[in-house]
Amino acid sequence: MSRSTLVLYELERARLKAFSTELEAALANDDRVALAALLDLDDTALVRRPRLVDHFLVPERGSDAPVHEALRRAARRRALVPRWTSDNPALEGRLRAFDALRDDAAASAAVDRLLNPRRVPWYLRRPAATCGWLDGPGREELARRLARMRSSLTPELRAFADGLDAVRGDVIAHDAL
Amino acid sequence: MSWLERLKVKLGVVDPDVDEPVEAGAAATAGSGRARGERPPLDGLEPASQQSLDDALAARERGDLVEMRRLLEELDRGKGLRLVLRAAAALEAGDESTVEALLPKVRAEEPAWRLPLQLASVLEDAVRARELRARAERAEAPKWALAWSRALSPEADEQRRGLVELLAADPALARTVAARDLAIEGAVADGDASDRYAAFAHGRQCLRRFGPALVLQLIDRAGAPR
Repeated sequence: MSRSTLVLYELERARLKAFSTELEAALANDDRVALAALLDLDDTALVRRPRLVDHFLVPERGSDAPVHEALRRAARRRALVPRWTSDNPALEGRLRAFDALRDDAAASAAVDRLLNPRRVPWYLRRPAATCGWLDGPGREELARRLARMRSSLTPELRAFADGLDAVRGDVIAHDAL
Repeated sequence: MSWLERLKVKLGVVDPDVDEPVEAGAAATAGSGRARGERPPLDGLEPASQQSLDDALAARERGDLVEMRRLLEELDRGKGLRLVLRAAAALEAGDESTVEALLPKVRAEEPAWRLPLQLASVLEDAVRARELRARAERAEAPKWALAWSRALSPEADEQRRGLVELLAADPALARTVAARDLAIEGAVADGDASDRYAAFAHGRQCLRRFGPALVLQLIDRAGAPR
């Protein structure tokens, strides 16, 4: 099984917030037309379950998977711009365990936030996927700390530091969006 | 109880009333049959009761209210569901002196939102359930607990909105509730939510078995939490 690689997305936070509000309103009102428009789906794709919310209370597999995928695709289109993609499947392991990085408490705490799925909205999480969010100041601080320790970093961590620099404002990391 | 355990109770992550596994209780009270490496018993401390809340509720279900009250008194550790049910049973029996003695502790229950929400989840009276949820909200109930309680409402609209809120607040718990409480076709309980589910569901199940109307009467009488 091949391992996925991390992508760094620039996040338009206000747009994602607006998306969440529209999504929750469509689900709360059971408004099939609104949800179909939001997800860019034909509304016949949303008739498998008695309530719209039920589509997202079941695991993402079989005939339920396309709706979950459409939701992530719609969120990505609305609020996320990919800025950098790792070409090294070992990056996540380095981020979580490379000594020089872990010795810097603030940098390792920021990395942990960036790899913590609980920090992104429910619809961006996937089982077994890695994802997380850092706000603009947090991203800048991590980038500064990585720059300071650059000479002791591995090539994939140096590339990650460059990727982090390429983002403006908030960043979302994800390996399965 | 350590500060971490106290914090978990306050946040509703664990329920102090959930009985320990049978093996743990037996080991703690085995006396001379102590296993190697186990601590000796502490002087002056009574061994934990071998009885459980389940035994008290079973006595109630077979109509033995005297035995139920005896067991609840034995089990009561001055807080939690055991205390609440002991007070409710005293109210039912017309034992005013016990009710009066226990009411201040019922009023001081922590977290103050948990009992109203558990009760709201088992009441068929939608209006009273809404009042209890409002009371829990004033007592700073966490979003996941409020949403879960709404998700169990018998009213379709309220239930749907509760599920949407729960999905946003705690998706693992939402999927567990969908599987275990609502039996939505294809839903699967999520292991990440098992502690939170057990903490809340155990109390709710006990209230259902005891009879929520009496407990409602008790907390109405206790009034707002301190």
